[in-house]
Amino acid sequence: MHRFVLAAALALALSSAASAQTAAAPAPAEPIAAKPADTKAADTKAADAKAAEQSSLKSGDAGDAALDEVTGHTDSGPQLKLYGFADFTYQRYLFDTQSGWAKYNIFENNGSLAVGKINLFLDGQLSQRARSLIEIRFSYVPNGTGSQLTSTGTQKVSTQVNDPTESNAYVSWGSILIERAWVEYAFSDLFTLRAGQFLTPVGIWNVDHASVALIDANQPYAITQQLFPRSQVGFEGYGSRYFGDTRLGWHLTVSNGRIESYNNDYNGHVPQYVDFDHRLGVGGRVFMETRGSLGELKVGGSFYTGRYTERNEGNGATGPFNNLIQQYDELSLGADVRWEYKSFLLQGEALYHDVKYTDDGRAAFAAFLGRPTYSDYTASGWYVLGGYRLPWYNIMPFGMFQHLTPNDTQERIELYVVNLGVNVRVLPNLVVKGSVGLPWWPKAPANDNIYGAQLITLQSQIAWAF
Amino acid sequence: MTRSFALLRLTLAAAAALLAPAAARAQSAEGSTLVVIVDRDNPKTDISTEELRALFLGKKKEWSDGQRAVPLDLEAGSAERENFNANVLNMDQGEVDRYWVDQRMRGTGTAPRVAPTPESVVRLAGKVRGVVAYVPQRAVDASVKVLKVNGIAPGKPGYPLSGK
Repeated sequence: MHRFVLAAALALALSSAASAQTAAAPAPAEPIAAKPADTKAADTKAADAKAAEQSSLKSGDAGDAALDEVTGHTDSGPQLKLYGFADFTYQRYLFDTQSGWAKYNIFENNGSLAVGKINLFLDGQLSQRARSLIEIRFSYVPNGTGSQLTSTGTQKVSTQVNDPTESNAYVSWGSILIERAWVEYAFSDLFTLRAGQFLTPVGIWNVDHASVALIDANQPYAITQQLFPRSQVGFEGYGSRYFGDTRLGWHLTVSNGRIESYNNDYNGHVPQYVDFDHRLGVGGRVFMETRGSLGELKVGGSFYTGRYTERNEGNGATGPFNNLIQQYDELSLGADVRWEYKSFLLQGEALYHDVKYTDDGRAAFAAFLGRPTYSDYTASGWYVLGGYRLPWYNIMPFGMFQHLTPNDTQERIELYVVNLGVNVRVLPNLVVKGSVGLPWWPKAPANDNIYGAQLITLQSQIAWAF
Repeated sequence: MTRSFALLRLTLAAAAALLAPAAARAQSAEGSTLVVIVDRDNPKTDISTEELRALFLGKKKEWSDGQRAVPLDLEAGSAERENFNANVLNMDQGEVDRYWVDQRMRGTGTAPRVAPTPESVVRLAGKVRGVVAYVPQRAVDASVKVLKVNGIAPGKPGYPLSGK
């Protein structure tokens, strides 16, 4: 009797264990479809359910509507998402008050608090494959900004006007800048076509763009100098494809060309909506992204070529925009690398810009600047940034070393900068940063009142996404 | 006879007590194992963790047949989401959130939609072409297809989403 009882218990145990094993590991060999029950009736019911589901399987906009029901969107029209970022900055420049930095009011040497960027994104998903993004920046400028450097200093712009809604009250108006405005259609992962104004797809920093996503409060000088155009108006095609664990991607741009031009002698620009010559700007980028035991590595190379033609308003006899200020053909080349290994980040970019004036453009520019002629030049720059995200409070100490040659015909302005700082990602959408920068111009004469004088920059910033 | 009957009851009780943890463990293993599901029209039978990562990070947006991929996440903080984040994305939830803040600022896209429950995910995957999602094994039904991950079926040794 005892043996019978034990045998029954053992049989029960084995049966339970086997069924538990089955439940834990259904392990089907082929596409797995879980079965609600192991009975013929249940199978039939499941097959019916499957057939019913398949007959109503939805894709595209109909699929989106089904998703909307469950994931919380109720509007059947295109979805518009509003989000953006802003930053609040304290900056101070330390320099000898007898130096040119003070004499020409290039920087204030008082610490200044400022709401820097307020950028609003209007992100519209027009369909499953079509998307629109508009990014606008609200700004205080041009109020209080300096215009051209003169022998007596910079001329400040005032936008102060009477407030028409209140007596004896004044307001200083600001402006809205269009950072991006594009619509795109994704034909496939390999090819998406974008049209409108877009950030030039070069390197890392130009596209990272938002203060909440950037490590330091200040952009590297090689980026601010726009050795590549910062943004363009035209078309951008892009795509990528995975080959195993490696992703290869491309971008190709065709546009009006450069909008802003800096060369240390003159800051030029053309309206975003005008192309003053018949030569389109053409650019591109290829990148490779891979992951392995040594972390994630992304490398890329970019180019841009085009003609920059700047005109000012005519005198009526010649019509508007007929007076040539400068015209040059340009070639920009860039390379970038970003390596993340656990909490360690290393990134760098190197950029090169070659400028060759046309005969008419050179003569016009020399006359505009009051010089006998103006030489072709190259500009180049690079930076290397390394940081380590500590396990406490997402604190990342970082260091950046950078170089800029704004114009190789003017050696004295060749610049090196060391930046040391800390980036604390308090929340995923809230960052506090602080850094100190030490720029120096090794080829400036010792008696150069500006570039021979010491300058230290202090920056701290709170940046947030909303 | 009475004594024998009492002994039988005692033996059965002991066997049940012995087996209960094993059964619970098996049940728990099933509960914590995630399966990757797609709609039944999706020709895929197997997916790599790298492809899943690319789909859920917005780096890959379509299937090999050209159908747009619709990744669906579960709520942040759920055990399933944590398992998926750790074993597929190799990130914690904070890193995932930071990643998507940065991607939005770059203009490259927004995070996958979030469905409130595994059951709602299964319901959607059964209705919407292109869906890819992860749910506990217990939540799946015949309306969806379960994929192998890295060539390994759920429950088999080496399955990457076993939750162990």
